[in-house]
Amino acid sequence: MPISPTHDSAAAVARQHDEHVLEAPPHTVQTLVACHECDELQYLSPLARCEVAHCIRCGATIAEGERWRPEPFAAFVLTTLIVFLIANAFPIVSLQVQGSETQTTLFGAVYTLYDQHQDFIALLVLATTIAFPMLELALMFGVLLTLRRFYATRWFRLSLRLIQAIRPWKMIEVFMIGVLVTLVKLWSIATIIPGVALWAFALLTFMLGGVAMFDPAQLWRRVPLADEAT
Amino acid sequence: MTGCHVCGLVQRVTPGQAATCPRCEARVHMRKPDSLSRSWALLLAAYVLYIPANLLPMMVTSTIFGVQQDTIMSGVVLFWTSGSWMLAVIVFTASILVPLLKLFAMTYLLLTVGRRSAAEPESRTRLYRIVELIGRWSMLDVFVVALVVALVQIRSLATITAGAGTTAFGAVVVLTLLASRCFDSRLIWDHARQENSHD
Repeated sequence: MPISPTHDSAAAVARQHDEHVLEAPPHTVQTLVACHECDELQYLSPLARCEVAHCIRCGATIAEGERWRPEPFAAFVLTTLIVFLIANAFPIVSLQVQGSETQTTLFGAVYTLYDQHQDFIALLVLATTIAFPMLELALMFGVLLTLRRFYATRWFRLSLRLIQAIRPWKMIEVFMIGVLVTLVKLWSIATIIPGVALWAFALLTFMLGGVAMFDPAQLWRRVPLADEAT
Repeated sequence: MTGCHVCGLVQRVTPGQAATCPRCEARVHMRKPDSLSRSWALLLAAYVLYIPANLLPMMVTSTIFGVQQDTIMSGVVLFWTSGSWMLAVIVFTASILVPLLKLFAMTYLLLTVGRRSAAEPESRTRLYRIVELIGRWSMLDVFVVALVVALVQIRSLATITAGAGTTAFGAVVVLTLLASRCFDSRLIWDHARQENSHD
């Protein structure tokens, strides 16, 4: 779109606003929201793509405009899931010292901890780097796939709640930095050969960042309210 | 009126009465239940475990020359003296600074909310946001131990096993994460609002 030098920003905002109102279904023109951090009640107008609304009192992010449409996002989640499987199927690094070689996958690391009777730590690593990320991706894909038909079912609501509950507990990006620290730590004592999974994890870190930009509130808006009588 | 903490739907809730969100079926409360006492309990447990987490070894290296035990701090010192200053700073920040900062920040938040302080709600909310943001990064050392332990199993030369310190340290991370989850930042604003309405 060509931008003229005498671009009137107020007019542009007004025109944009008209477009919102035309695009938005009538019942979502203004919604009442409560800030999740300070509980201030406020009215929210529909947001444009990538637009972010902040609380008028404490400044918390209270709503985000749609960054992803469900269909391309479903494809992206599936791709991320595949990269995730690759990252877990292959060794992260191999270590060579005087002719002997050791290598490990992420699950191998978990198993070694379990083998050394560090059950709690083994479980913690398993949950934050394998179980939770995989569960979230799988559930997210399932939810997006069944969006059109099953948004009113209990399964849909439970999955969405589970996705939100898991979110803060997955730590792939922390793990990625952990891999780098480990590499430098072992650099001086052995020859290190990066494995396929190292690159997969690096890619996965960024892809999960993209997945995290999807706001589940966008899906909650589609879920109908239960009958008050029941 | 309050927003459901799961799906955000604003609805009328009677204080002190259990309600179910008509959209997501989660239980809706005006404020997270027993927020202060739960956070305090988890935080105190984290304080207690912070001591063994720093004193007990994270890694035990057995070579033909003997057994060496590494705590978090000795790992940082090793990076520093061997010239990897960047890594020394990263590990020091993630494993020592972040957990301490979180413990102190949560204590400060719980104390001020407990005293019904109305001072500077904005900066305290910001502090809470920072706590939520950095909390996960203290897991860094646990992942490093997991990988090193799995890789350095060179028969007859050296084996590294995870020490008891890792369990304590992992527990500190989980407990502080749970403590900040249980804390309800809306409590900060409740007292600020009451103060203002009295004026």
